[in-house]
Amino acid sequence: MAIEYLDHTADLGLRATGGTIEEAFCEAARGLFGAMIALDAVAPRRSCALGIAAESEPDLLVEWLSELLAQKDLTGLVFSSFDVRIERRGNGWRLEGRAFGEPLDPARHHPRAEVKGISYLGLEVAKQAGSWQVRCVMDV
Amino acid sequence: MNGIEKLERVAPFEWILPREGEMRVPGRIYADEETIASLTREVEEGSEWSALKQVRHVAALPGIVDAALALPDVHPGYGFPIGGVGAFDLDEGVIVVGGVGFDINCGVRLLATPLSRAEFEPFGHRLGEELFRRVPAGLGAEGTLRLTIGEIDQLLERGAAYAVERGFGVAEDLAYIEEGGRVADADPETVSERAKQRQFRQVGTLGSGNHYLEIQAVAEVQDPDAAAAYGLREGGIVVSIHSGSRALGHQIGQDYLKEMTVASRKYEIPIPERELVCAPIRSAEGKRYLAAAACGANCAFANRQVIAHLVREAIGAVAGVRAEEIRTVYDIGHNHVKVETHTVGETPRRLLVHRKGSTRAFAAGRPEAPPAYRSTGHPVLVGGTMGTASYVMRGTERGMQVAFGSGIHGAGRALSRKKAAKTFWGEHVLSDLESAGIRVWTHSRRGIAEEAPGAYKDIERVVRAATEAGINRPVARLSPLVVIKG
Repeated sequence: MAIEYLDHTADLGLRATGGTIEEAFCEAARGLFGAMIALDAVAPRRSCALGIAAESEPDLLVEWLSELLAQKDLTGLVFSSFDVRIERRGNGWRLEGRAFGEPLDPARHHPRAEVKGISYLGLEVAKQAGSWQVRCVMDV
Repeated sequence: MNGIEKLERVAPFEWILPREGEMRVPGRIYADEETIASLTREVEEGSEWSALKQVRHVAALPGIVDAALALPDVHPGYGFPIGGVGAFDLDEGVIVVGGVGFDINCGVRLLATPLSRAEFEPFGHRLGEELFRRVPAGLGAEGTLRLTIGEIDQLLERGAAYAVERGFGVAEDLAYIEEGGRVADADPETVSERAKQRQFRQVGTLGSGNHYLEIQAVAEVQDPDAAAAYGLREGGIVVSIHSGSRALGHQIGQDYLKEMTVASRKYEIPIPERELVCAPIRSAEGKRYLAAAACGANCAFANRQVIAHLVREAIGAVAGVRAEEIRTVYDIGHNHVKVETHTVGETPRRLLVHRKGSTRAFAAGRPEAPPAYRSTGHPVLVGGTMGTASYVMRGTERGMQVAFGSGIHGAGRALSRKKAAKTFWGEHVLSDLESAGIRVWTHSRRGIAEEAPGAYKDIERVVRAATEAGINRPVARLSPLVVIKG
């Protein structure tokens, strides 16, 4: 599992990999919050249940990350670990799981720039040589 | 085929990307050689996210009129390039979420105080502290104005006027905000509950990233007549507020990207890049997004109105200046979509103009400017970055003819945030700025490195290119004294 931030002049590209699509999505979520706060300082004291659906895997990635952005504002929590299950449902895909974190504490979490949204630019979810790779560009 | 070998220089600061392939119109770029070199380098190096490629993609959208434009602060965005302008025929054209972006109506408010630099100096430090304390900024900051859903709907409909009704600022402010601080035809029904819920605690917050609040001195007046009309005098103290529509705008962007994906398919619109999903302007989906974007715009106007009030309170508390002595010079957005009248060829036409990282820059005589600015055209507010100057400019007749009356919005980034964070060290940036007499208060040291002045193009060069291209004219240069960053 790995997170890599990619150069984009105005915004921030994100690539995450995992052994399974679930791991890759969880890494991407860590990459999203890692861009905004010091991940290691966030204790998984509270959790939030999430369920989303989309018609394709790349769309599911955008839905997943934008859902987490919304939950950050709605709950005041920032998240550092995730547990999800992804499955095909009908003509599309469904993700269910939990995000773990705690209320944002600027003194401990060392905030950086806020991610405003998840764009479709360079969006990718692909299985390559036994590992899953996901990629997107975040508007910062 | 990357097309750059065909980039034609038609004037010292004007370049044409000729129409070819899927392009319906040419691309037209107003920039200096250095910017063109960096744009072509992106293509030559095979950069996946190239601004020139984005200009070509915009030029391929249905109903685009005249040309896909890029202004001197152009750099890669998503969908449209930043510094990009695209105008569309109302019958044949499309409305594009990626032509506005997530931060709908992000923009700048400029306030003029009665203080001179000499009068400001003794309490500069205390004022910085007071602004840092009073103006919520940075990740997770919450505003003082908490709204119910019903109240949010009123704010979305009435924009800055609603903030004034709630006691933030004065009614005179409204005349000096683009579109009176209230974009018509905003329909809160087109905005999701989630977008409204995310905004409950975010009205009157600055945000983070490149958003800022600066106390600046008018360092140089270059156009005395316009400066006099705008109430700017050399040595005077002004305040710039750079912020946007916060979470509400971000959620509208996210919601409508999804909706437009479906619409693009429904209307069988060929999409050169997924971020350019769109709908016909006259379609139900197109009208809904236009009404939602108007809500986002009003939210941003209200947001800056509330922040302006907090700034007045801080200056009042520290310097004893009364709120009504601090005048709104202008408030202008640089991520928007608007129906406007422009003369294309000989004929005036109603067009839908998208500006992404670009402002309106309407010349003298246009009725959209406040009456006091009719003879000069409204101010164009060009944001700097901490150590660098900001500019007040104005539109020109030529800009009306060739650029749909558009203006530059800032220096434009040169380095990615990743490269900037590697290149600059927050503490060093802060000490360099302090040596230059610029006091910075920030919620994020890392953010300071990412936003270091060296991560941006030279604003003087960008202003010169816009001036030499004839689309904008400088009125006054503002130099920062106090910077508040999220």
